[in-house]
Parts: sequence; C-alpha cells; structure tokens
Amino acid sequence: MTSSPTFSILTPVYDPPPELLSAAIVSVLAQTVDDWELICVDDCSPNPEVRDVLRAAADQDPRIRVVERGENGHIVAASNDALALARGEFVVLLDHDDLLVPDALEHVLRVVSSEPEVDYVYSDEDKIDAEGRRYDEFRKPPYSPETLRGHMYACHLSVLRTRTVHEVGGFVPGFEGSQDHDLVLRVSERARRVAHIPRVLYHWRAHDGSAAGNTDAKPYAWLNGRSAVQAHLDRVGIDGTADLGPGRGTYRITRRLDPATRVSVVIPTRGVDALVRGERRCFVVEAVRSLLARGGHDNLEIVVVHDAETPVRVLDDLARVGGERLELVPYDRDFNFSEKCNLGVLSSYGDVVVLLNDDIEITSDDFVTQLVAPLSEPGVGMTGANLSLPTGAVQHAGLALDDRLDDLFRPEVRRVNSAGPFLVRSHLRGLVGSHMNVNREVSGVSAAALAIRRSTYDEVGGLSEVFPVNFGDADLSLKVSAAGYRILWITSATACHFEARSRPAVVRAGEAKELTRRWSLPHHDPFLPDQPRHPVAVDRPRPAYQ
Amino acid sequence: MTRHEDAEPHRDPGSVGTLLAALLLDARSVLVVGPDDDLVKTLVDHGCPARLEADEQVDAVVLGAVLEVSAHVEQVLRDATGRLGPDGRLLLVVPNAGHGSRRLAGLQGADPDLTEPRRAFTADSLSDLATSAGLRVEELHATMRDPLDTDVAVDAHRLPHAVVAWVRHQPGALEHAYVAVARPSTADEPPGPRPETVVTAPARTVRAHDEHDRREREDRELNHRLLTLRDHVIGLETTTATAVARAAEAQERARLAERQTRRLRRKLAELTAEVRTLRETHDASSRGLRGLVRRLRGRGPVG
Repeated sequence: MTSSPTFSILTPVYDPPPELLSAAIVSVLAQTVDDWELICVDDCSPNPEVRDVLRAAADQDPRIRVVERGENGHIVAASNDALALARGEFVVLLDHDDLLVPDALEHVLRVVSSEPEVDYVYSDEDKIDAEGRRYDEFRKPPYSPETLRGHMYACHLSVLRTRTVHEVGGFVPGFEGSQDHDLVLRVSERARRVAHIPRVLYHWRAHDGSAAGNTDAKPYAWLNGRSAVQAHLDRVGIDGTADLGPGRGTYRITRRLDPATRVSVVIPTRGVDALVRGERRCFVVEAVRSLLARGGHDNLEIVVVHDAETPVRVLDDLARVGGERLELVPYDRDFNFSEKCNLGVLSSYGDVVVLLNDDIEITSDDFVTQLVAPLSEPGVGMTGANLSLPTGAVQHAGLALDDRLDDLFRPEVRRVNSAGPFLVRSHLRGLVGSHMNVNREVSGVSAAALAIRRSTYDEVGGLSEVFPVNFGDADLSLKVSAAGYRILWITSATACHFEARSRPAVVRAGEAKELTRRWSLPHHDPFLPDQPRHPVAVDRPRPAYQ
Repeated sequence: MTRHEDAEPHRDPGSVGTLLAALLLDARSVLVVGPDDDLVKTLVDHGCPARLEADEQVDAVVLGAVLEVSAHVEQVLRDATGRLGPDGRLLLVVPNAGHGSRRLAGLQGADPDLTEPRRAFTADSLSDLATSAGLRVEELHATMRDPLDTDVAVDAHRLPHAVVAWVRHQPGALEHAYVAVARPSTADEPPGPRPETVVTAPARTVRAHDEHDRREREDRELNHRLLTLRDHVIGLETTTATAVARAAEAQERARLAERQTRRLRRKLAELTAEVRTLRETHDASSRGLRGLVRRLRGRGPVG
C-alpha cells in the first residue's frame, strides 16, 4: 500500500481474549469502505495467542500493521506508538475487544467529505454481551461541550483529524484509562467543527474485565478523568474545579463567580400563601429567605414585582427579610408573567439577571454562584436550574422543545400534566451517562429559575409578552439559541418548585399556537436523548483467526 | 455644596450624632476625639456622658472625623485604645469614600480626596484598618444619604439621569458615613469576618424622588417599549422564516405528489393501453370463436 488511507484505526492491544480480538479485526475487515489501515500495537500481552491472532491478521491483509512492543508501557504508550505510524487523514479509536458496525467508516466518510472543516466525529454506541446481545443503546446529543466536561459521553466511535491530534500532543501520559477523554477535550478546544452521527456505529464489549461490563474495572480511569477535565478547565480559562461526580465516570464542575458581578434576581409575585408540609407559608418571602441563605453570592439585588393585591404584611415581611438588597416594583395590570419579568429586569441594575418564581425554595448551597458563573464563558447565553417537585420527583431538567407540543392543541388538554414539554421524561434518570448528574446543553430552560446576561436579555427582546402565562420561557430559549448562544442546565443548582400553588396551571391553546407559528420545532428535541431511531442492522462477525 | 434642589429624601436617613447616641446608651463615660466640639454637643443633647477630655479610662472612645485626616492613623488608634477601661469600645467614624456623591463628583472631574478627607475609607478598608491595629470590629453601622443630598460638590444638572440612577442603585452608594464599633482583640483571637453593615434607613426609602428619578422612570417605559418592539420584530422574522420553511416543505410535498401523480398517470395510461390491447385481442378471439361455432353449426349432423 503506497498512498495514504483516509482512516487509520488505532488499536492498542493488551491481553484480550483472543477470540474477541479476532472479532474486532473481522469487524474492521467487514467495513463497506476499503480506505483504511489498522494499526495494532501489542503491549506485551502475556498470552502468546494474542500475537498469533495479530500476526495472522497482518499476514492476511496488508492494510493491517502490527507492532509488538518490547516492554509493557500501558495504554497511552501503546496508543502513541500506533499514532506515530498513522498515515491516514483521520485516526479511528477502536478498543481491542469491541466491534465496528460494517458501515461505520462509510458513515464517517460521508460526513468528513461533505463537511471539510470537521475535525472530530463521534457516533452513538451500544454494548454487546458475551452472547452477542446488544443493549444499552446510548443516543447522544449534538456536540455538547458542557456535557463533555461532565462525562466522556462522546466516547465510541471517536474519529479525529490526525493533524489536530498531533497538534495537541497525542495521548498524554498520566491520563491512563481516560486518555481518550483527555484527547477529545484537547481536540475539541481546537476543532473547527465537531460532528455527531446519530447512529450506532460501535458495539462496546461488556465483560468482567471491561469498563463497559464492570464500572469498577478501572478505578484509576475515573481519577485520571477528573484530572483531564480539570486540566481542560485550566486551559480554556474556566475558573472552576472538577470533582468526582455522584455517578462513576461523572464529574461535577464547581465554578467560581467574580464577587464584583452584580446579580439582579427578579421575582414576580402576588404574595400568595398556602399550607406546605403542614405549615402556612408565604411563598415569595420564603423564596427570598432561601435565596439569601443559600445563594452564595453577596452582590445581589432582589427585585420583587408585586401585584396591587399583594398584602401589606407580605411586603413588610419581604422588607425585613430582604433588607438592603430588596427593591419593590408595583404592578397593577392584568396578569402577564412575561411583562412582570420584563418590568422587573428593566427596574434592575445587575450585569446578570436571574428570573425566579415566587414558589421556589432553593435547596443547594451556592445556588446563584453555580447558576450564574457559567455565563462568563463565551457563547453561553442562559442557564437553568435543577428543579424538583415537593414529592422529590424531577420537575425540570431542561425543556424539550419539539413538535410534541402539538399534543397541547387537543381541546381536551388544558392543564399541564406529567407528559408536558416542561417536564422531563421520568425514565431520564436511568439513561447511560447519568444525564441527571452532569451539567449539559439543553434546548431550553424554565423561567422558574434561570440566569441570563442582561445584554443577552436585551438583545433578544426579553420575555415575549405575547405569552402572558405559558411558553414565554420556551420562546426566550428559542430566541437565545437562534442568536447563537448555548443554553446550559446546571445539575448542582437545585431548588424545590411548589408549582401551580401560587397560580392555577392552565395551558392556553392560543399561546401554544403562537409558539408553533413563530418557530418550526424539530420532530424530536436533539438534547433529549429519547428519540426513536431505526435500528442499525449489524451482522455479527465470526472470529477468523483462532 | 451641593444638595440638588429637587432632591427630596423620602425618610430621615439618620445622622452620625443620633446613631452614636443610640450606640452609647449604656456607656457611663465617653471620650470624644475630633476636630471640633459639635459632636460632643449632639451627644450630650441626647443624654450621652460625652467629653472632649478625660484623665481616667473610659467606657468608650469616639474617633470622629479623625482617621480620614490623620497622618498617623496607627498611633491614633493605639492612643485611643490606651484610654479604654475594661470592656471598653472604640467607635470609629469615617465618611464613606464610595458614597454616591463622591462617585458622581469624580465623574465630573472633582477629586474630593485631595481636599477633604485626605484618607478614603470604605466599609472593607475601615474594617481592615481596625483589624491590622489589633481591634475586632463587632458592629458596623452606616448612616444613609442620597448622592445628591450631601456636602460634596456635585452639579446634578450636568449629570445624565441614567448615571445618577445607576449610582443610586450600586451597593454601598447610599452609605454616607460608617461607624465601626470595635474592641481590642485578645492575643489568640483569630480575625473574624467583617460584620454585615446595619443601615439607619433602607436604601429604597432614602433615594430621592427627583427629576433624575422621574426621567429614569420615563426611560424605563421607553426601554420597555423598545424591548417589546424588538421581540415583535424577532417574532415577525421567525414567523416569516417558519412560514417560508413550511411553504418550501409544502411545495416539496406538492412536487413529490405531482411526480407521483404523473407516474400514476403514466402507469394508468400503460394499463389502459394494456387493457385496450387485451380487449382487442379478446374481441378478435371472440370473433374467431364465433365464426368457428357458426361454421361448425352449418355443417349439420354427420353420418
């Protein structure tokens, strides 16, 4: 073979079951495009059968090149040996016991041919067990930099432009087990474009010795992954800390907020109170109390926009609890949530605006800091909080903005219910990668608790007063996205939402129609990974070199 | 001076004298160190046993308008601390260098700190000074003034109203003078955080409702109209884009439907032609058959 292939498949090899290694090689040979080379670097596997399989494969096909290391150097050294030999325009990462689907490279080729600026491509993936059964299909979002900080969601299949990989220094020692996460973070920092192929192109082998089959198999990988994410934060200038997250393989990003950042919290209210957990409470007073107790940021201005009917005792209580930070803005028109918020924002002076419903109780420390700090990153336009109902059920983990809103047109649907677009699907908790445990990009966030820079709010015309009750936040999210900003859902900014306690929850068909008149919504929200996809037919490769 | 003609503070924002008198209610002996005896008179008028001189140790020493003009602040604090009896307190009174009046004066090119006071303090720097002098600040109080209601020279008519409104809403901008209540810290006492500032009146009740405020409210209404107009324009743009996209989709569907119709028509024509051919074949066959039958019938019985 003389000319350079498009793809160099890099496979560091260390002591896999020979039949699984053989199956991996067969899955490469079965590719529907021929424009590849496979570079296998054996890192001194103790089992001689492994080398037999590799040598037999190399003898059979000249595109397969085998390097036998003289000493064991672990996965980073072996991967770098493979990278040094790569002649392809792109490197493809394939573990020694996993499988590519037959048309994996064909799909990638289609993307890189049509989009020459793509420097990194990743696809969906699933797992395959010892009996060859496929499960745990992981449908991934479009490129999501914040999610990538929370866990290595891109993972398999990863295809990177070789030149870019060399520019960032290849695989870096010290990140063993998470060397791919570290590499993808560094490449993504420099990539002109990152593309996602929403098809399963890779089967991750699950057995006792693999990370897919046993999350405790490589404990060092999690620790090294934390270091990789921290190094990434340092490189891109995010003032924050990466810690191990609540789920294995996840990382919790804690950002710091410049104390000089003036934050205006706008709370529309009419001063309603109700029985909660056996106690009568005035929602807005308790919202302000929890904000001051757990906000974590002193440079606050609290602007309460109150209806004329708000009881004087509530305003007095607010003045007592809110102290110097409180500003009261009277509102004496017909109820329009969006207008109340807009008037509050216009009456405030902060660099950043937080919209907060009055029936919110903040339940995490540093709530304001965590919600607001990501806005200092260029390109981030808005953030939303992690909201729960008093029962503990998830109330908001990002808005799903797709044409399932059409359900609301049915005349019998008049009330927000558990299937509504404002509520996360209940099975989201169980998804691969623990999407509830990491910050991530979303299509939209609820105005019950969101943060936005004042300049962005002005730029997009604030909350549209065409939506007096519902969908103002969905519309705002769509406007912010259309202006080119990312929207983040922040898992660590938690609050309890006593939704619909301060005002009956009614969805007006006219508002929903206005939203879909303004916006063409996709069939499925790209960031809510529950969209059905057609199954990918895969022939199970037969081991050939035993 | 100074005070803007239109400035009408909403509520009595409190004075240093009355604040000190309230803080010194329990004191039996108070030594006041200051450039004049006005403060002593005010305190005495409020029933406070204040004096300008004292030979013995006292319950409280008030340093009024001293720190900001003193060239040897540490020495002044040491001397004052030396005059305190057991459980005695120092009350440090300084103007706020970050008061809105000074910010506005600075914008107009004046430098209040070159005249008076010579030394500028904020709540943080006053607290830091006390801590570095071996004192622990237990309370921090502030009197309140609207930025256009002080002795600092500000030509309010020359200032953009939005600037005045912005300054009026900045943290600490209405805190006019600070009174820090401090005591000597013990040797092993770690420095504590600065206490929260207690103000003599809420800022929202101190801000003047004047011409600047009125014009700021007018601006807010204008900005509101601008905001909703911008949203309206964006809404029109997105609605148009959505309608165009849907029209394009509908046209594409129509094109596909037309193509399918043409295909079906062609197919129908082919089938019709086939039927016609079949019918003609059938007719020909029928004619032949009928002729054969006639011929057979014409022969009659054989044999």
